[in-house]
Amino acid sequence: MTVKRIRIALWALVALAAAALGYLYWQQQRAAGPAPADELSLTLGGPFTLTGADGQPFSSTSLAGQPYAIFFGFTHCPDVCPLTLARMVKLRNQLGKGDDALDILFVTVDPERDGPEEVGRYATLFDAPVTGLTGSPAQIEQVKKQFGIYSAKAGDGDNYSVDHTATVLLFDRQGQFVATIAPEEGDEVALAKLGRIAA
Amino acid sequence: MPRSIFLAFLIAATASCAEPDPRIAVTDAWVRATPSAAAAYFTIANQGGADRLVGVDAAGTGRASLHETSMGDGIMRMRPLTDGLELPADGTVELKPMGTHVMIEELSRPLRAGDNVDLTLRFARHADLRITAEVRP
Repeated sequence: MTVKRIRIALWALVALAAAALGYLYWQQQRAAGPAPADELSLTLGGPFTLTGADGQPFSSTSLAGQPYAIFFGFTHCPDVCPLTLARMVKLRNQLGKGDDALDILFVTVDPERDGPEEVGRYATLFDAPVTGLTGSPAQIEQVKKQFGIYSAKAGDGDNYSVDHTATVLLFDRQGQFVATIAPEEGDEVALAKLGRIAA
Repeated sequence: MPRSIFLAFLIAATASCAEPDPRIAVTDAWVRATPSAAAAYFTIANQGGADRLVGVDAAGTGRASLHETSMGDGIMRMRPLTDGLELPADGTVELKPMGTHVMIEELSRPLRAGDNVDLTLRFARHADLRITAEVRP
């Protein structure tokens, strides 16, 4: 066998391997079924009803005409969650347009432990208007889907934690999704994004 | 000096050289409080041999346990550090937001800015250390 033939054979093997991998991937995608329309579309958000800190229904219609930043967390989270909300409050102050510039919403992913009183108390920590929201487990699951949020209980017993998407989602006055703020993004970038929705 | 005592002294001296004691100082302790739970942060400087922080007690404030926050793919996860926290020889370990922290639950009283929280740090080798952490707004 000449060197040239060996080279051709090896490349043929590479092509075969690539084809096999491609086929396996395609099979796996097919087995997963067609993705539901709402997962593929970028229409995050949408109308929702949750429960406010006062125990009364909170409808997203009350947000009409108001830009908002929405964050999903839970009250048994003393590290990332308060840090994120405090940061949003601080940035809103830096916009210099007052507390009405945008609403800051905190939605619990732990409706089992976080009732209206719990989210209400949590929201008052920040010395500035933050809207705490809870709901039935079904309502929370629905809103999570609408906002593309992942969460899952971690650990056993009463002292579980909840893994959850830690991104803040930003919506404009028309209720359209505009941008996200990730925890690792710097304040300058985050402030610019808030400026866009509050304009 | 009798030879046996001299030998014993030599062995002890050699042994302690081989495994220096940890020399630990804890600074910059502070607490962020929420109604349901609080997080305590501090810096541990170890100028001696390797040790391990095996537990923290917050008697009088609540139930304390070491946790670690990790972020991946935009998802936040918090896990208990059941094996404690390694304190390398001649090293500094920082407990800080979005990282390792002491979580205090079942708060016996609401914590407000300016309150002091007493913590007892327990180590594998070093003696217990008592520190006071101030609650920040």
